[in-house]
Amino acid sequence: MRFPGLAVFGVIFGVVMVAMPFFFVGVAHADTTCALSPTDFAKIAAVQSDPSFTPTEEVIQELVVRKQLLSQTITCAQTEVSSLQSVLLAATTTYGTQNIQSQLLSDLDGASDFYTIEKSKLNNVGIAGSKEIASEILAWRAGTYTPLEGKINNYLLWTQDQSFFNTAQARMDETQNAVNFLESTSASQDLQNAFNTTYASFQSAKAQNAAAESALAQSLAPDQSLTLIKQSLDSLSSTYQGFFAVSDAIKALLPQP
Amino acid sequence: MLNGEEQLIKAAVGGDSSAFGSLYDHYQAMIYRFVVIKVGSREEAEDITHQVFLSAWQKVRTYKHRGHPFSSWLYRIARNQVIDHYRAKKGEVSIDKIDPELFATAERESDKLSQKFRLEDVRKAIMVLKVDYQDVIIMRFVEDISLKETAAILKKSEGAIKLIQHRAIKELKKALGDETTNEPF
Amino acid sequence: MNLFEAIQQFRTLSPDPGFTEKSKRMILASPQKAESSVGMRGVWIFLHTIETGAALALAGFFVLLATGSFSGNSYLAPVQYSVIDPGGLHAEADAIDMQIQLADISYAEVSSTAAESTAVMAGAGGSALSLVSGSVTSKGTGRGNDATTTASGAASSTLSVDQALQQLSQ
Repeated sequence: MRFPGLAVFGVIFGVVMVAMPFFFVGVAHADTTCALSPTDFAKIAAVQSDPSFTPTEEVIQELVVRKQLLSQTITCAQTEVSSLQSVLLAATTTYGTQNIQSQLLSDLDGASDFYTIEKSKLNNVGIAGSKEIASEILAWRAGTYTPLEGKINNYLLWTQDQSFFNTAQARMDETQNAVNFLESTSASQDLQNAFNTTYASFQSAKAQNAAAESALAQSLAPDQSLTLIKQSLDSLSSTYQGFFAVSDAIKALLPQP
Repeated sequence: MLNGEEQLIKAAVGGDSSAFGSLYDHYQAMIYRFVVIKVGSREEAEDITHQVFLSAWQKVRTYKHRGHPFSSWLYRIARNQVIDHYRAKKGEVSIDKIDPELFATAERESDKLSQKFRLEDVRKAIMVLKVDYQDVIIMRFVEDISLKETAAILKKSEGAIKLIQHRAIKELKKALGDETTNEPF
Repeated sequence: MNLFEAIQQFRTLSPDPGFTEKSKRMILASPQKAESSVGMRGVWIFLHTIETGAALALAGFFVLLATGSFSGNSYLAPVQYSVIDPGGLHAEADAIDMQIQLADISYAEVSSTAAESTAVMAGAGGSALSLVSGSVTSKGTGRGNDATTTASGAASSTLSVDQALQQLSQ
């Protein structure tokens, strides 16, 4: 299973499940109807082994089938590109990330153009030529398109994360107010320690989030920006563990009946 | 959870020693297992387990039943006792200094002897994990404790426990060179 | 035996019956301590007798907040109930944990795709199905034109674009 389609749809699924109770991102889910059936692809072998064809008829039939299938495959690949463009356009952007989005959309246009050019070559090739075109597209996808899908996936993941950061910032502000107030009425070392740890985690998370944005803007390799995104989320998770600790420390200040 | 546990706890809180004895019978082995995996010595595990239940008996009057199994409270006491044990023995404790017969006996009794995973090696791999990771591994996979109860024991969210579990398994697999891809739950 | 089965072997560890019997007898024969003065009830009494003013004010403040009887701007209401609201905290924390799992899935896919890309670029032979079945797969929802092969290599009803291209290049 290739990473791009699965991960992008995983992101969409995650957006719907995660964002529903709190905030709606409004990601468009492009309808894809392309289906490449193994049965159709088995027709090549069926033609090759059909005893009723003469050698010439076999070559002609095989070429017809191959061109049909290759054309269908390229159409599916173009549908992938359209879907990604829709999803990307629907993602929330800030002033700073519009450039990133524009670059990715432009790269997707380039991919679409590539497929159009390759498809146009099909008219004038034989069996060997069609195999060459298929190989060429496969190699291009591995070296160019897949990394592009990785960058898009990371960008979408990062844009979703910003709503978590905004929520965490609001919570941090409330918590800081609470701690300041409580410290003035009843000093608690546990509370102060818990808050300091939480605050430090959040500062790390924000720094890592900014580093992830920078990596996306520089169009670094997908695994590099994804590592930074993961680190920022891990630090955000630690921040929330800290919020729990602060909450416990505040509750401990309350006399129990 | 033990059948009729709520009644037993109520009785134990009221000072009924036989009620506490029933709770002891039900939970002692699992607390012992938790401790012995962590400390690696039968003798020390017996001492600590005894201390856990003694402490529980002495404090049970202050216990408030809040819908979690009694074991959640026992595990919390056990975790603290193990931490105190390490603090007291700072410098002496080593994951290599384990009772050599302890896990060999378990392997002999098991009908699934494996050359690939010796219990001693698995324990060593568990013990280099972070404390929370160790505890989640033992609770979830040795004792089959639910996510909800594990979260209550460790005072974390269920989501955090799931994440800790996932990471712990990943690190364990890396340490032991296991190639299976799916977590059982 | 896989790792999980190995871990479960620890279940065979059990205490010595002699120790169990002796320990239980000793514990149940020992006196229970009187209710600790550091218990919660003790805190309530202590606070009431020593620092009644501050403790009551604090408790009262939270009661007012919790019951919604208090209103005011951030100066007058410096402590929001949401700071100690476990439901909201848990929901937010769980949402982040889910996002981390999503990122982890992406991370696994990136690693496997890097391996696949190397194989494709090197011109690996074999059918498209066998090439893809070696990678980490079968998680999350797939699109119509993507194959969802399991780790064991069983194919579902559609081929991915790459699988199709692989077949057509041979």
